[in-house]
Amino acid sequence: MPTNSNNIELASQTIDEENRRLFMKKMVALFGATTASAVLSGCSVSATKQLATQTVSASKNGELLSEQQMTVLYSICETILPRTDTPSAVEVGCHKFVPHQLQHCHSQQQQNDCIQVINAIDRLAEETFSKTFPLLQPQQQQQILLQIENNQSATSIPKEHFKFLKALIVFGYFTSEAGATQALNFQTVPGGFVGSIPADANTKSWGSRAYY
Amino acid sequence: MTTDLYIHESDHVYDAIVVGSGISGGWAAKEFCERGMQTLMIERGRVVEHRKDYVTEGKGPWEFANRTKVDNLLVEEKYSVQKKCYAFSDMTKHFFGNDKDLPYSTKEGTGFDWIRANQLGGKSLLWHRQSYRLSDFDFSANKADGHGNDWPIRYKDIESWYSHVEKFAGISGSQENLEQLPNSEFLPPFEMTAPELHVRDKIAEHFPDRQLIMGRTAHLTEPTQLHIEQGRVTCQARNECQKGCSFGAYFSTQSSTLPAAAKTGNLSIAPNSVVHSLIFDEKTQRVKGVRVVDNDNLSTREYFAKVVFLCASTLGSAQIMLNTKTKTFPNGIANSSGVLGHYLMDHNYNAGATGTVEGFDDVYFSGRRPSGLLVPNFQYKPSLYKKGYVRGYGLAGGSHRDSWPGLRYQNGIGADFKTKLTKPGKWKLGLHAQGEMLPRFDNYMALHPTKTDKWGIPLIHIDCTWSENEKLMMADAEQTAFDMLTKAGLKDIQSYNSIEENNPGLAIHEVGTARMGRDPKESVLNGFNQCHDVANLFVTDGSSFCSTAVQNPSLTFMALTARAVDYCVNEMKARRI
Repeated sequence: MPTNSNNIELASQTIDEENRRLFMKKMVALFGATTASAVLSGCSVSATKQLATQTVSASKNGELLSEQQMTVLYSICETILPRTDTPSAVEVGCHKFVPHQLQHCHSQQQQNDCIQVINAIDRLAEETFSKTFPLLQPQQQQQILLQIENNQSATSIPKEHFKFLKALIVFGYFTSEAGATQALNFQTVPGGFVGSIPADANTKSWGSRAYY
Repeated sequence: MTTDLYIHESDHVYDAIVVGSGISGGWAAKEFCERGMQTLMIERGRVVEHRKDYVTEGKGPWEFANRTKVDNLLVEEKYSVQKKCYAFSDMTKHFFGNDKDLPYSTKEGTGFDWIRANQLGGKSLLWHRQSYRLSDFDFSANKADGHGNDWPIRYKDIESWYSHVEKFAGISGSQENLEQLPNSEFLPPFEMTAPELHVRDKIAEHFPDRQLIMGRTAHLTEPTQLHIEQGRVTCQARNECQKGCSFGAYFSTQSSTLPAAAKTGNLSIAPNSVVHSLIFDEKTQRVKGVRVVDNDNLSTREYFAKVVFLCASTLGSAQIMLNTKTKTFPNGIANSSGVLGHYLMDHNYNAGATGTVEGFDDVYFSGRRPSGLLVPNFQYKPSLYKKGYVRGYGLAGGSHRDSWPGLRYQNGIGADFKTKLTKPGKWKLGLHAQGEMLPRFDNYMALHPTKTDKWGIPLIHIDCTWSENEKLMMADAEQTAFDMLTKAGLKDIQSYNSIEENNPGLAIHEVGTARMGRDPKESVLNGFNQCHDVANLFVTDGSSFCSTAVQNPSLTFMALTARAVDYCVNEMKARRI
């Protein structure tokens, strides 16, 4: 997608401050202003400790992810499935869907695996760029995720755990209304079955499935 | 349907009681009603009305909080067995039985996955709709190789009844003129995809004994006047059948037999009525009716009739019979042979292979075909048996183009990855064994000696395992499916054999607990599904099967049921019942 790679190039040229402001905007939408500032101010070890306290309080409220982990997941979703000519994973709410689905439909082990992956991604971001993952430029975020997917990072996170999280994000995306009906071709009532129709490079997959 | 269709208390003596409202019960009710018999259909579960109660129909995955998956807590609490069914989801769970309320036990170290659908319509709402006739090779298989007892009927006995039910239900398929899989009365078949046509030709070229044909399915590809009169229209290829279909495009009790039965004015339905046991008159040696426990408030009541048809499922019907202990039949009604509950079978769906078909990137399909492919059994008589095991298997299959559910595990991050997920990927085609399971006395269900369910009925206790024959068959089926796809030119072929992981039951083709036979000493039912021991008691569901064959059994439930009603009514008119 030429439009999109231009976007990435442009984004990579933008300065940190702009990135921060964009991120702040998203965080305010997610968590409200106070938390967003707290997260933004926290790029150091001490701030990580502070966030660790928040993790405890998050789990007290029965929420799977701490606010810091939510911000990392938000950026993971955005990096894996960014906006193209169709909405991004965040725009269809995948960052909210993932913890919901993990809590309701997956095992404790899978929940823990995903939390470890999210933590590892943020740790790798800190180690590589001295910044929390959400504050990295899109290209840096891509680089971190590719390192983990290709087992090229020093983290001990199995690549399968990252792939599981990625697959869950993709599931959330294509079962959302926009994902199923805009990114894909949705037939509510196909009207009949035709064994062969022509297809070319522009043909979209069917978004309407009998089983998910 | 009108509300006066449903009854609660009644001391009326009906002509016929039909226990169960699934595929068999629906047919029994229709056939009785159309012969002018006052019929009471008894259903243990709630009423499900056609269209009105298809509450998830037409909804997209985003309209479910868990995107069609079922919440862990709910699964653990209520659906620990039902979750194993391929069709179980948040969109269909309301049509599945509740494992908490409907417990059963299995012998330690064994398992049996029993899929339930206890509501009006039963599993006719959830079934896979594949519809095949049995052939004379199937009816004579037990006699030919000595496993199980001989079916007391042959193809000629049931042929016209197959035609009768097919014309009404509507079966789509292709005329193939195969001796092991007789033609049905067909509506047009669904189309094959381009790779399927290619693989069909390759299999014909390399395996002259095998054919890849279009699946035969109870869908209206081209409704006849008979179907239009039932209020049914053409299949729209949604393949979301288990949510219920307001088009009435697939056969179910609700779409087809129930409206036909109700139209006669002879039908009453007693919903929420769990049959505890049969009322037996020692003097006349006949059944008089049934004892019922209310599904909701556990109160008891009785219903009476001149004849009783058990269509309560293979395990359900046998449970009712075993729980009817009388002076004459201390071990369960009509069980003088001692085989009641024994010879429990299922199909063996545990091996297959899938591969990639190359060269068809420029074609796709449109719609969601509610059917697949079939390679009919090619080991259907002893001279064709493979070395090491007896009987055979069919291969069910289908093709699709890879899309996001498979592609999402590939490497990739970002816009290019996202774009790739939105495009159809490689063509995949699979063949999956539907193996025959041998009838064995040792595979059985009985009543639990101490435990009862909330209606006070003894739990079903099951001891059913795969035998060596089934294991050898699946090992061969895995290799055979792999070889066939290889010869057909597929690439990246993956094969599997899951028999060690899966319990019997999951094919949802349980049959055999009250088998037919000529000899009352070794069978429960005669060739008309009538109990040898009790003339006015019939069992026409899967209980009556002597062998599984490899075909999906529902069409045979329909034909046997319609035939049994015809016989029964004639016997009643002749005053022999």
